[in-house]
Amino acid sequence: MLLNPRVLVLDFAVYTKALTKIYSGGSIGVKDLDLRVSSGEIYGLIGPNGSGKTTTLRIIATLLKPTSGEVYVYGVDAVRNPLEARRLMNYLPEEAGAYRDLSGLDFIRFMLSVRFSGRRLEEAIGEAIDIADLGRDLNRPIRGYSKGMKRILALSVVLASRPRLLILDEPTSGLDVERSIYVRNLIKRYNRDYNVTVLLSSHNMLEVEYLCSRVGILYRGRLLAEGSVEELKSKVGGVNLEEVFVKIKGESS
Amino acid sequence: MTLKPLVVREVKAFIKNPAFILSIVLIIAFYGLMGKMVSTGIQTAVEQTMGIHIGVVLRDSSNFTMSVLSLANQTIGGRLKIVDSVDSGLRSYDVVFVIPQNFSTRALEPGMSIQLEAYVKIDSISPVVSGAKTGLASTIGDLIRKSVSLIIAVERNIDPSLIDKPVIVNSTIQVYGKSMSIEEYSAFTSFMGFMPLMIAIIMGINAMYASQFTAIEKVEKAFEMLLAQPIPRRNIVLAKIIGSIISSLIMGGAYFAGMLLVLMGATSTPPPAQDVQSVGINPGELLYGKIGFNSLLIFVGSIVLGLMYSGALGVILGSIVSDERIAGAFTAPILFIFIGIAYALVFVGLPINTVTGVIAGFTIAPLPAVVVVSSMTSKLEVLAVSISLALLSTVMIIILAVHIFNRDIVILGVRLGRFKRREKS
Repeated sequence: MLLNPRVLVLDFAVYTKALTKIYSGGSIGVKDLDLRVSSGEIYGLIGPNGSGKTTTLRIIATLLKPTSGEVYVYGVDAVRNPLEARRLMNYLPEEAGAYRDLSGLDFIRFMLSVRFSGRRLEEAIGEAIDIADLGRDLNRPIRGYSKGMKRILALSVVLASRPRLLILDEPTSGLDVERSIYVRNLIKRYNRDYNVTVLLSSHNMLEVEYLCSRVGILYRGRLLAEGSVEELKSKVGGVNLEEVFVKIKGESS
Repeated sequence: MTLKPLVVREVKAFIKNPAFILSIVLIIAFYGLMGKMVSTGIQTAVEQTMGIHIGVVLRDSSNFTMSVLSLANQTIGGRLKIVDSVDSGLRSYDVVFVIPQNFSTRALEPGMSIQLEAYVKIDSISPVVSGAKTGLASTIGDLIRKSVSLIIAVERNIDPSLIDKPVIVNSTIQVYGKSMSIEEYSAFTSFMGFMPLMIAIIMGINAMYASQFTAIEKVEKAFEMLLAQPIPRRNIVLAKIIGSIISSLIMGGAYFAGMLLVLMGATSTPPPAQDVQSVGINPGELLYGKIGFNSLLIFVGSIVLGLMYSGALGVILGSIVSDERIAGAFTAPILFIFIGIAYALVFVGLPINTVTGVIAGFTIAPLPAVVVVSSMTSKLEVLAVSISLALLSTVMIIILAVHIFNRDIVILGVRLGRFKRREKS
């Protein structure tokens, strides 16, 4: 029986088919990537620097256009209808900062006002203020914030927007242990309580093991392996995700 | 001891920046070209005025007057030509003198000055050409003064240096068919010279603001987050352009307020003595009466277009560079280029025709000069071409900015030499 492609696409929060990105100069960002992220799951992309994680996330977030291939977000063609796709998701880039001349509160209001208005906007702002938990610092200009404070502020905005798909590029990069734990718990909570699908990338294997229901290993733009942490461990006989990663990368090289 | 490596690092950071090097090359190349253009303009002006003939309307045909004119004509190489009237004279010559009926009477009467009327026709916006022509009128006045002194000295057999006969030349300038006093003409030329420069500066500053705002947003790392929001990129571009325009207007307002304070300070001197005749120019009357309301309206419109045009240009530059340092290095030469284009047209003294209308339409900065002149001379096709192209080029550059905001380049930036941004992943 032939599957209806449209139904197949709608089944996933993220569906990419033969996704390829070749930069000017010929360097490969991703090559023939078939990625499927189910609705409601937390999916982790891991891989060394230059493996194509950020490229993949940026394409799905509609920031980059693929050279070829297809990308769907909840059935919406992200290449042809980027605006519609953006309404369904939010994206936190790696090292995402904020406008240094705004106060934290102004930044929250500005970023959420492009999505919401009226009462819903005020609710979202309140939620972001709670998440950021920056107290009086929210009224200070962002230029005086530490890296961790800026990261939490940016994260508060994307979480409070409660997108159906949340794309996080190395969400705890540069954060101290306490803040990292706080962020991981937030991601878990929003995934559980609000059914927010999360697609994240990370170099922190412990974080990926803790958060992700499924993991994809990218290397040189290709998806080498995919599955739950336990499946991957048993597949290559590794005791933890770090070992799995090193073994799979070794086999590929 | 630690200063030297710090300075070396700072200098290296600049000179190894491709944008910085490119901006230097651009400035040198552009101003080298502009120097040649200005030189051509000056040469043309000199050639035009060297061989110019001067019409003379003779209302006093006494023997004395004829002797004075004959001597003056010999001295100037036979360039004085008798004409019937001022109008017919101006049809053939660029400078016409009127020798009044009482010329010989006043010349021969001790203690009286000679009054002459001069009419100068100027059909160029080049200050070099117009300056040369008005200068020629003064030269002829001086020549007549000397000729009068010499003829009287010869007739009375006295030393010519003992005779000092003042000659007052009342000049009327016909600029593109509109008559102006010399004071009004000075105000007009100041307007024509100042306005393109002002627009060029406003455009340059606006482009700089727009590029800096956009580049800083990238440095602040908020840019990708903003681009991932469900907002049409067109709105982001327009907001940036409008933001830079508002900032430029605030800056422009502060600049003019400052200028006004300087002028107020300069004019708060004691009033002149009653016997000194002051010559007052009402700028509003001059602009409205001589240049026309429509031209002024279009002039204001060209400022608005210039701001939109330069804002979009700045947004494009800011969006394709990686930081505000490179944006600054790129936009500085743009400021000079706008000024250069505005002045090249004025200095070269190019005729106002369809070609110059096209240049003004695409570059905006010289648009006010072209619009004012083409409106004064009723060259409606030039007016239409320059304004249509200015509108078109402004819309096109905004569309280009939106197009760039929808491409990868806005995220990845332009990859220049060693500043190539490696895609981080």
